[in-house]
Amino acid sequence: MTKILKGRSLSNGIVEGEAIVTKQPFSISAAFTFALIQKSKKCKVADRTHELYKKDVKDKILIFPYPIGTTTLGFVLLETIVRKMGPKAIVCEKGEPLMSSGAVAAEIFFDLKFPIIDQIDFSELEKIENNTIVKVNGDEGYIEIL
Amino acid sequence: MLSKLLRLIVKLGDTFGAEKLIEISSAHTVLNFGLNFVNASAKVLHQMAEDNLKVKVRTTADPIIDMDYADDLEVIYPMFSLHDQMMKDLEQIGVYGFTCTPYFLDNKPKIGEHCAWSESSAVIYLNSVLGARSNREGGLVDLACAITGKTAYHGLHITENRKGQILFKISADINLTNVFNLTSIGLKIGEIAGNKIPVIDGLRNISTDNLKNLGAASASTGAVALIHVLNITPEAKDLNEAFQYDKPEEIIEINMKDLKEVREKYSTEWTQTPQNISIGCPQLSEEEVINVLKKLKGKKILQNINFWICTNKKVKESIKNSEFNDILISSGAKITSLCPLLTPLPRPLTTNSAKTCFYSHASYRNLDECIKIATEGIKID
Repeated sequence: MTKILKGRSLSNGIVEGEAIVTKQPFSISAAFTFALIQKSKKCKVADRTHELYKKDVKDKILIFPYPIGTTTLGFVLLETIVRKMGPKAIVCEKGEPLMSSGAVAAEIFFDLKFPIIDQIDFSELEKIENNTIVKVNGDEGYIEIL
Repeated sequence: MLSKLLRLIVKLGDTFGAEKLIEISSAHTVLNFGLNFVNASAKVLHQMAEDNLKVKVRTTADPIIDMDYADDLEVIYPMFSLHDQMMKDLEQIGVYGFTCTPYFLDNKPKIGEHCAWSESSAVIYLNSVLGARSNREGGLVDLACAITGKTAYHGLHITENRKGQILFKISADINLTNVFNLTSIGLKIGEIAGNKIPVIDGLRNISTDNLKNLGAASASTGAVALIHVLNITPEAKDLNEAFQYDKPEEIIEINMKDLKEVREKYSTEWTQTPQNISIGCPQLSEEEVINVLKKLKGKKILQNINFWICTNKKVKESIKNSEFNDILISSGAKITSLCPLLTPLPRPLTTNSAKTCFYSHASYRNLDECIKIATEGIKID
């Protein structure tokens, strides 16, 4: 039985992958910058204050309540998308323009799609178990738990 | 390229409920540091320059590396492989300044003006102290706004969205003449407020320099982009104006215990004498630099410590050409236009800045203690 959760699309694209879920707000700059500097092929979270510290989120569907952090967030996300070294998609309860800008810029300038969906209650999202296959539809704004 | 930049602004505006685009009078970008991991953005910037695009409004950028200290920082500088190209491209499109406090230069928008700024500490100053209006834009979007002269009309551009939400009362047990207390208040408020708008009651006579320092702290621990300070900031003459005749969602008192708690939480306690001590993040005003130098008079920084006084290039030159240059030379302190966050100074690091402490695993101390450590080292009993 598949379950569908409807939300709002912040950027386009349709992908499928294994979920990785955290209840902690997520700083994309703090998490990914180190892997970018290291030119790493993996995407191990480098934020020492985060419960996903050292976890590899490459090719995952990354699920968290909302993003935090500095105004470098957008281009850090853009870089991980262009290098194809980060997650495949992001799903959260409350997105904001800084995070969206990275994914929207990837589509406009590099023709690469990276779906982000928000406005799904975290009480629903936290029920998703790690490694569950999730399909993210950024064109229409919903996710499908397979 | 121009239509792509516009598409970026429109798509983001559409998603977040903007009904229109508005003209801006000023921009500030963070897309300038040439660290070796911003290739994709550097490529887009390069394309803007190749297409001969120019910014339509006054546009400044965040600090860059300071070549005066290339020898001291030779370990770090090879990481900035994109620096030269990005500088060339930024100059070509008309960006200047290279400071996180552009309002100390000539990029100082007036009350009510719409702007597109990034750099969290600058955005909070612009909204709170200047009363101008900007959302927290991101690197790249800020430049798209600068080149098109437009941004999307949502968030803090709209008067109703600038309404205070949480009232913070400052307890009488906090000594407000101590800057270290003010920046610690900033850390605590950001942590509680998250992305809400705080109103602070009880900060009498706070200077604009200290509003800068407090705001930068709140913009680090939270996503705070606007703080009203009663009787001080331009949209908070009284409670009614700050809360737009509504009631606070919450009222929270901040006392000395809270300040001790955030210092313990965010400070990284190095036990060795630091290699680097950085003063100023955001960069210091001229008055703040002079205050540091007066305290350094007659003292000498230990030989293996770099004592960085961070300010903009204009103040740096002005100080070097003033009577205070003698104190710089005799103390061995280094005045610089670098950013202690973008130029990752080797640890152990000590700082008086709440923002540097939050992002850089630094020990957080007040200015007098920083000077004591710089001149006497850390004594282990």
